[in-house]
Amino acid sequence: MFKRILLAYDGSDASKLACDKAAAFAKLSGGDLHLLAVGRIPEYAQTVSEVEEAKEQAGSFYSKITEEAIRNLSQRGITATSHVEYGKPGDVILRIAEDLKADLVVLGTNPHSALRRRFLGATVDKVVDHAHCSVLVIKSGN
Amino acid sequence: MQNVWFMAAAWMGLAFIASVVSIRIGVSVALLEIGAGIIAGNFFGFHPNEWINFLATFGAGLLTFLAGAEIDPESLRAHLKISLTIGVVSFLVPFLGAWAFAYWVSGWDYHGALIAGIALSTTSVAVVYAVMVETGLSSTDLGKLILAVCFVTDFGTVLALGAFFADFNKWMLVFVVVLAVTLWYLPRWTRAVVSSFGQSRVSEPEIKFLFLVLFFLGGVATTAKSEAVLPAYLAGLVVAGVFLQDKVLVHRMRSIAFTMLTPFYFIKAGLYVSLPALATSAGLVIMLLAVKMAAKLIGVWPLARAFGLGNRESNYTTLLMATGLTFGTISALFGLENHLINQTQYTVLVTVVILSAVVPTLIAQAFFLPSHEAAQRIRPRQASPRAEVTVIGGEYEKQPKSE
Repeated sequence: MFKRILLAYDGSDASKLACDKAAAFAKLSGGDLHLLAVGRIPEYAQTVSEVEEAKEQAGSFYSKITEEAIRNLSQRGITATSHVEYGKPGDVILRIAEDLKADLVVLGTNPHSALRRRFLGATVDKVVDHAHCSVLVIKSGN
Repeated sequence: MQNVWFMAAAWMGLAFIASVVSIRIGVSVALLEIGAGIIAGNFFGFHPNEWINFLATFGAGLLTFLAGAEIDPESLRAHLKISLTIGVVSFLVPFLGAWAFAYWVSGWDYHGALIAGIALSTTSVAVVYAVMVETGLSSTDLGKLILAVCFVTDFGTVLALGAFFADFNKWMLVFVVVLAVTLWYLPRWTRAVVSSFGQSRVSEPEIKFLFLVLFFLGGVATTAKSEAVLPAYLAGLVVAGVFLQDKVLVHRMRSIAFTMLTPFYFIKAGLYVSLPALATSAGLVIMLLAVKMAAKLIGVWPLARAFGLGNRESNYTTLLMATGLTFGTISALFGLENHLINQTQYTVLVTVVILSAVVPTLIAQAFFLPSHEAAQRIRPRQASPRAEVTVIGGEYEKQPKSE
């Protein structure tokens, strides 16, 4: 069974649903649960300040929501570790999954328009295609 | 359009749209402001007037000041020898290569070719830093080394821009003396102002003091026919240590810059990009991009290997050093405004500069991303641990990075 589970978490309804599923897996397997929030930073920035500003804002926002998630999990008797990283979500999830040697990545999916998916890509697609381990995708809105 | 309010609304409207789009798609707002300027200039007849030119010029100066102030003095000291060596070569070889190509192959005149050399010698610290953060290398020794090299390269670019086109007369002497004295005392004065007035004054005396210095140095520089970005960058470098300790001051200056100054600069930079000229000069754009990347490869790669970096790390370093954005744009606009290049040449240079931010980055990340272990092995000198934020459990705590 899965011993190290990485959950991609951004505070959305889809990720909260994914969090419930990941917590259930963690409880069943007795494995470690890691919450990962990824703050976007601007590509092709003109100044380091622009990147730093985005990091600070994302860090402040995601630290609050991951704290809340950890608290909720703790009330259910599940211990989890949270991480806040920065960059393109798909790439960062893949990198952290490898660094942690995760054997399961769990992520929720929000419905996006076909146009948005084609031009901006979907994080889920990237993770499913390139992850070194199993990936569980929780669809919201069912 | 004569009504100053409507004109301001139109420009700020472009800036607002660029800002919203940048948040949605995760691309730098500056790049989108340039894009907005391209559209506004080519399709809607936008052009700057005197007050827009002033805001744009000051925006470029403040941008340069913040770029200088962003340096981590400790990182630079920790990798001084290697960063100076690679940084100087990283500036010099592309500068000479692009200058030679523009002069002898493209037939640009001497000054135009110089502008091409300067614009294409740069390295974008911000693009490199964003890549480092994304790949988790910003806190590794390799990441710090690359950033230190970038600063040295950009220093070369700013120095060249300030020196090559200046008149070497008494005003230059006055400029050099005034600049030297100001830079010597500036850290002390800045600390004195910050500690005297604290951070809670609504009148923002610390920021006004720094603006006073930038305005004054800019005036002395332009009197000597030099470029205001040179003293702005140097002023930023000398107060970098103060800014490391006072993040609130940085935030406030950043807010002023990004809200009210740099949008005018970047939109103006985009206005002068001519789409018809771009269409006819596409071949030259590609060739100049190739020249820049090849020159960086010739200059940087052997040195990176000589200093002990592995093949993969050397390739990665070289490609990141081939990026360029802020100072490339500033150099090109300086050339256009001083009639050293024409609009077609400006269009070519800005396009090459923007492409140089994208193409090498994509190649580096796709094919040559070093492992964290390898990035940590680059230790010419031990750098001090920097605090990293990791949220653990339910607490938010700052932890020193473990070695």
